[in-house]
Amino acid sequence: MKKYLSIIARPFVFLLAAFFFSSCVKDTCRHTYSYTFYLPVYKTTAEVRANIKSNPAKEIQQPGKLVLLGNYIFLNEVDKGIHIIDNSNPSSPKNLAFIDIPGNEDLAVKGNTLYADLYTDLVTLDISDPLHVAVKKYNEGVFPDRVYINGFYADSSKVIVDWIKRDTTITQDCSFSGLVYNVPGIWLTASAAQSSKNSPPTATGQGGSMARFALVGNYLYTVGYSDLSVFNITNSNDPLYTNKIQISWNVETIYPFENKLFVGSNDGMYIYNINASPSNPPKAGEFTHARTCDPVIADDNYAYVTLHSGTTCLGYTNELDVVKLNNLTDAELVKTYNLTGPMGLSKDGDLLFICDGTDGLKIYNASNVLNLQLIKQFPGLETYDVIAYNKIAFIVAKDGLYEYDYSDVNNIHLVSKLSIIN
Amino acid sequence: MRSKKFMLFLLIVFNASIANAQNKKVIFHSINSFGFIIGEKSDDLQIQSVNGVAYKNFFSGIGFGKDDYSYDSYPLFLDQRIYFGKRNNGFAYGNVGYNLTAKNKPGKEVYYYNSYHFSNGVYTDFGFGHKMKLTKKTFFILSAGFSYKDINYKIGVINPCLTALCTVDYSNYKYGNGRVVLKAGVDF
Repeated sequence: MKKYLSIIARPFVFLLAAFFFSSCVKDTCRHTYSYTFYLPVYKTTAEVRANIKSNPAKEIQQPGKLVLLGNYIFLNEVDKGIHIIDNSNPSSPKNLAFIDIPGNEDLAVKGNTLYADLYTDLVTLDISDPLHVAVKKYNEGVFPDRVYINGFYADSSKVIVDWIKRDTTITQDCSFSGLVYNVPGIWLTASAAQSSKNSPPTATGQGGSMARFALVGNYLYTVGYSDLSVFNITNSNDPLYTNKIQISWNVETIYPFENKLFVGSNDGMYIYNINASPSNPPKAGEFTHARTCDPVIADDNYAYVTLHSGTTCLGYTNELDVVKLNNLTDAELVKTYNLTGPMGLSKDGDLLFICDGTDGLKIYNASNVLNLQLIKQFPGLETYDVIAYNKIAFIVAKDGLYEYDYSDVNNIHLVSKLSIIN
Repeated sequence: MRSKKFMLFLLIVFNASIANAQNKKVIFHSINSFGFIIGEKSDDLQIQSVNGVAYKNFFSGIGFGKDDYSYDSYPLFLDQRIYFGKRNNGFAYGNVGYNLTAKNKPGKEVYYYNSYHFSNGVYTDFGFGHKMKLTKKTFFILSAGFSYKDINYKIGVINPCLTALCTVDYSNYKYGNGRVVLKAGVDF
């Protein structure tokens, strides 16, 4: 009897032991986080405006969007200004000057006039002499999306002209915060940019597919986070802010083609007809897709939409969608091509150029959109945007501005590279 | 590299135990158990298999198991036991080893990431137990102990930016779990 009692009692001994150990039970989590933040450097508005001129050339550090006009390349230095590059000899482009425009991310050029964003303002510049550009007008507060968020508030009486980089590492208990995204510096919500096609009487700069500015005739169209703004530029030096049209959320790019505006957003492509009422264009059609980022270009019959994930783009889609524009109200997906991480794209004749992320630049024969043929690939470039114009492809990449000659499709070759300093 | 060195160390210790015991009376044992893990935030299960040799009232072996508590892992450890009592029925044990990570996904504490990588940590388990004879060479085993495991992972979070090539910030998380483990198994 005593033996059986002993056997029955044993499990209780272990439960007692478990109770003894329970005081040691504890889950811990330590979070070590290394991050970089940027402290703003301020100047007064007067100081900033006095410096918007052709200053000595600066090294390219963080190239953004670009516009081509004649022999010149206007290349955005993200949040800093615009490089003016003399490209009269594509094999040896010369960095001529730099226009200091804090907060600049987008630009457009029409004739001798350059339009650029300065945070929430639009600044108009006379560039008839690129070495002596002159400010003609400020349209203040026309890009209200360009504000600082994420807990950061700029001194509104001044303008941020630069950022001082600070690296730091913190260790804390995980329970302190779920997602630590502790950047006291900057997160800009939206921007504006460059672009254009068409050949109105006054020469218009050729922009890329990542543009948020578009010039058509006497109008400048810009897209914000959720809207399309219209400026009347009949008098080039005196843009008049005439209209604002709600589009969708997460608008990213705008591309003009033959009296149509193709607006790319996170969830689709929207087509606006500017033929009848350019100051108040109605929506003519749309093509929706998975939620992701999508630069778009178009030709007479098709729109080409690259969808990419990663960066701030949601989704997992990386592809090229070819959309048939039967009529504007009935855009139809006709073919999808899988890609790696496509961003900017450009088309010249039957040649389609695609910046495919880390896969570099891909050039396709697009004579048959249902069967694109890869002609050439330049791997090793981390490409962002491309403009194919006048037999030269201009590529903005992580490490520089490249120019490729494609006058002979069988011998597409590098002509020059403007390197980026780090 | 560290993990390889540690595995090598375990093998050397284990082989040394066997070599030392070859000239004397040693008995191979396989101890297989299910465990019930009582943690701060949840209860979970584990399964283990320890294989080694017993000499007199000592046992040395290498164990491998699956541990479902918090982030799943596969502990690989050195097991040492000492038996005591009138019939050597009681024992104290200690496990020290490596906590090999399973293919986990980041937890809910990280909502927005673009990359993650789990890496291995430490595994320990100390306690005592009791074995009861079932057949001539088979024993039923009960044990209770305190176990600690940790696991590390690194997550990359994208800094939102307007143009391409956004920078990525990296976070390192180190999770430590101290738990009570009740095990029941068979030694044969």
